[in-house]
Amino acid sequence: MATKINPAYYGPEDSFVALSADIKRSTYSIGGLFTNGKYTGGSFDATAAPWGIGRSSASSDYEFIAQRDSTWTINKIQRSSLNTPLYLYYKSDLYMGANSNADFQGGDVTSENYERAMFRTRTSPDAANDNGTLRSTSSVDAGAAVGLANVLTNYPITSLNYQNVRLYIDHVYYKPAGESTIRKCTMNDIEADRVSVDRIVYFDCRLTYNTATGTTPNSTNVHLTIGGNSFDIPDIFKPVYYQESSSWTRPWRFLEHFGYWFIDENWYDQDSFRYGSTDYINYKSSWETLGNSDFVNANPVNVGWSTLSDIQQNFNGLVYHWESGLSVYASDQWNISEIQTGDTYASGTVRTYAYLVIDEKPDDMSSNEAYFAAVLHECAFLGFPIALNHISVTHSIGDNDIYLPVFDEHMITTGEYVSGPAALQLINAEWTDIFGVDMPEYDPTYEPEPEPEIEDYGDTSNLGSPRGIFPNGVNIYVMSGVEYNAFIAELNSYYANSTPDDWTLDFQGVNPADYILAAYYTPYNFAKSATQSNVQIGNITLTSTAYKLSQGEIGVDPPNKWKYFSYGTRQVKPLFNDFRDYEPYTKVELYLPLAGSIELETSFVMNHNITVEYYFDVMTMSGVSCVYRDNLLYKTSDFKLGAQLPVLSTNMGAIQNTIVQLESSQKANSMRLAAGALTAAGGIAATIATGGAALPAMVAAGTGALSLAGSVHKSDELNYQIEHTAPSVAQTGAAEPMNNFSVGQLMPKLIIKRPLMLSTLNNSIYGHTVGHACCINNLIGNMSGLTVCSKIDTSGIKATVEEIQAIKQAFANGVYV
Amino acid sequence: MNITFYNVTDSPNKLEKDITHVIGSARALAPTGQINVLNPVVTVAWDNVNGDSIINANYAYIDTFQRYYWINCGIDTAKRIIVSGKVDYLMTYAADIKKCPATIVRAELTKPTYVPDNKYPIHPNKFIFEGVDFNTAPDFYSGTEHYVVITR
Repeated sequence: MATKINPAYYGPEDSFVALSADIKRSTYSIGGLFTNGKYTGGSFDATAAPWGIGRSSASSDYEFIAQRDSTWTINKIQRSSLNTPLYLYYKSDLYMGANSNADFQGGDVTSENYERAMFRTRTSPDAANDNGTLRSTSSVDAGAAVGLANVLTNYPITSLNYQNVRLYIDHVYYKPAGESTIRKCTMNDIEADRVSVDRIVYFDCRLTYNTATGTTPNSTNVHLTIGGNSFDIPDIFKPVYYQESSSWTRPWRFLEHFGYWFIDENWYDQDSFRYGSTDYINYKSSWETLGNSDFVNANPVNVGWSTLSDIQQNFNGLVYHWESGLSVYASDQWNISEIQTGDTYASGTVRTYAYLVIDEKPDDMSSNEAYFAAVLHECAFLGFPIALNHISVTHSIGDNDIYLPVFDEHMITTGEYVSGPAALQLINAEWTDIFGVDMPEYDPTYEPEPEPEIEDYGDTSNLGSPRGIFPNGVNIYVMSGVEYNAFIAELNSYYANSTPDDWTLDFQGVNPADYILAAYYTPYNFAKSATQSNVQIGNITLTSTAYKLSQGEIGVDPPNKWKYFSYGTRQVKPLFNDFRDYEPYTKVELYLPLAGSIELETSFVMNHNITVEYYFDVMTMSGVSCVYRDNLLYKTSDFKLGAQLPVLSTNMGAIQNTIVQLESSQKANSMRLAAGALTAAGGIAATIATGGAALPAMVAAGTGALSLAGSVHKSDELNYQIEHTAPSVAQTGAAEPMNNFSVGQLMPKLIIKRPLMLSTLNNSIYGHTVGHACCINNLIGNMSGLTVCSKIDTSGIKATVEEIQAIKQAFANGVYV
Repeated sequence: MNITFYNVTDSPNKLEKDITHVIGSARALAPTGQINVLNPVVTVAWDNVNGDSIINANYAYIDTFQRYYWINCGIDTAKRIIVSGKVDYLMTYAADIKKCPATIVRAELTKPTYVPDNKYPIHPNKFIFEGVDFNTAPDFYSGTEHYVVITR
């Protein structure tokens, strides 16, 4: 049985349709892991170094929500102003320590820059372990804010992207164009004023990071405030809608400004705090050990959440939403005294410690009832049970003041909610954990069918293990340019230096060109671990050296798999969280190095992980790029990783054949001459035997001896012929185009084309006058503001036919409810 | 037939009007003919109420018809107020209408939904281009050239 989870956190985007700005989401947000320990004098002051999960405050101080020394303890949370208009909580991974400046995606941030920014960098860091020596602390305090501002000014904050270090911007203060006062602002302000040149935004920032070298944090300055410093927003940091730089890697983070960020479970899972293969701060496990649900403290919305009684848990609250102007926020009784203990949700008692308080009806809501309905609607979409007040939180499900969200057959929230006895009929009435992490304990009789298009990938699960054939019986060498030139030169050097005997003795019948199967130019570096050896062609061992690849270096787990490398995974994130994130408004392309660009179906990849893997065959240097959507092989595209090169070498075989033919011819002539000489010698003997009667024949014998001398002369001629034999050249392969390699982009890139709104758009006025398209089935009385209906059931209205028609026509055009 | 006069500033297409600004009330004079319930024309004596106020009223409730009306007032030669009304079916049946189930295709939400909205003012020729680089690079080039030679 598939693990069931609360769709409020894991469900598709439809779950969050109503997560609009209808509700302010309180003032508290969760901080990251940090320590307030000091690193001074070259050592870490452990006594002053508790670490835990914290938050920033409006001051330059910070405080822990949860703190760990020997065990976890929970600190009381002080509630700051409920009217804080904006907690941006922009999260950006910030470089810390390792490798080089190039790790900044935004550009070449010098060490000076980020030291000034108080990111305690390390000298001579080891790329794998990041265990260099901490830099001097002399500038830790001085100029920190200025330094950070400097970095932010020159480099987009979204480019500060690395593990371990996180940059939070808690507040944004804003000086609109033409105004002299500074006020806390919304992103709408920035958006509306983006063409202004005198924009000033103040960031109240803090930095948090966890150590990269061990379980003991060893750094400091995890929090800083630069509220007193200001800087102009450079062009590169103009609102996200104008950002076209490829360095803007995660613009969707701006969605967090709209109160969506807390649903991103990836934020606080333990991988976020993993460096290499080690979990240095696995606070998640710690919490779970103590019986807490998952994502505790990672989730700022804890309405309806239950804990065990021995944990004093505060709530980090709902992210206050600046946009709506509504006055819903976390309970002002937000402290330990409100903690309920000993109750069991499963027994029918709601255990909520934080809850929404509807303070007063906002001006733009027509009535208290409509406002309350909107609040309940939002909470229901979030999947939370709702108690009407701090008294009713201890009441049981089934009471009229306890509301439960309604889930559909796919366990997706609908925004509907019920209270009273009807709530007891809901499957979530018996959940032991509202966040669903205990769902395996939940055994409902109803087992929804999985969505085939989402989960059923058929029999493609084995596609991740492509198989191929390892090219046995060949030698594969990797050469540098110098080595390759030397190799070619050696192939052609034997001709000049060889004597006729060399041809036959050294090459032993080998024609080098016949033993060179292929030569390629490739941008791929094979020679990481290969060993260097002399190049072998046939029986000949050349003096040229190269890296000879072993099977293991040609294929992964050979001979069953092909050579492979992965480009990793990226997620296609929505920007708007509405219809604009899909076609035809948003289009997604994927550039594949050496293979070209392919178009991805936006609706198929949005909110999904895209993984790119390359498999290739070394023999032909051709391959296939595999694009996975999650675990599903989605698309493939052929590519060439190498361009074949023509190899010209002296045709040793042809020369050898010529030599052999010449020598054979010469030998045949010699044989004929020798036969003549023998005949002459016989004549001499006969003359002696005959007492000189054969003297004339001696004359002939003398002629034969002269002919033998002439044969010696012919041997010189043979050498002359050999030496002047035109060299024959053999060619292996032919030139292939390698234009693809000239494209500098050798990293896949998702290219997302998103729509841009007209600058004249006022979303609020648009919603008020035109209305946002939707499909809501509800009672008219549950709506507020402009309401346009395609169909309305007027049964029950005691009116004339003319009036009924007029009512229907009015709602077709839009009525302000 | 009692008529209550109001000044209403709400848009005609607002379901429930704000009728807190009551101008006054008056009894209609006996009609001389048939009165259309949906578009009534009634006469009110000037002296009965503060005529100066009523003449400027734009909204009324007629108890006999149990309906609200958008009205226009005039004065006849006998200085009687002629009230011409057009029924406001939204306000009249607001309570019942609110109980009606409906399929709402547009609503005053704070942001767009996943339902495509072809009226939304999307820029026709400007776009946001976002490039997302992948994070793991194979070993390309490494500062030198590479040749692969395959022999036997």
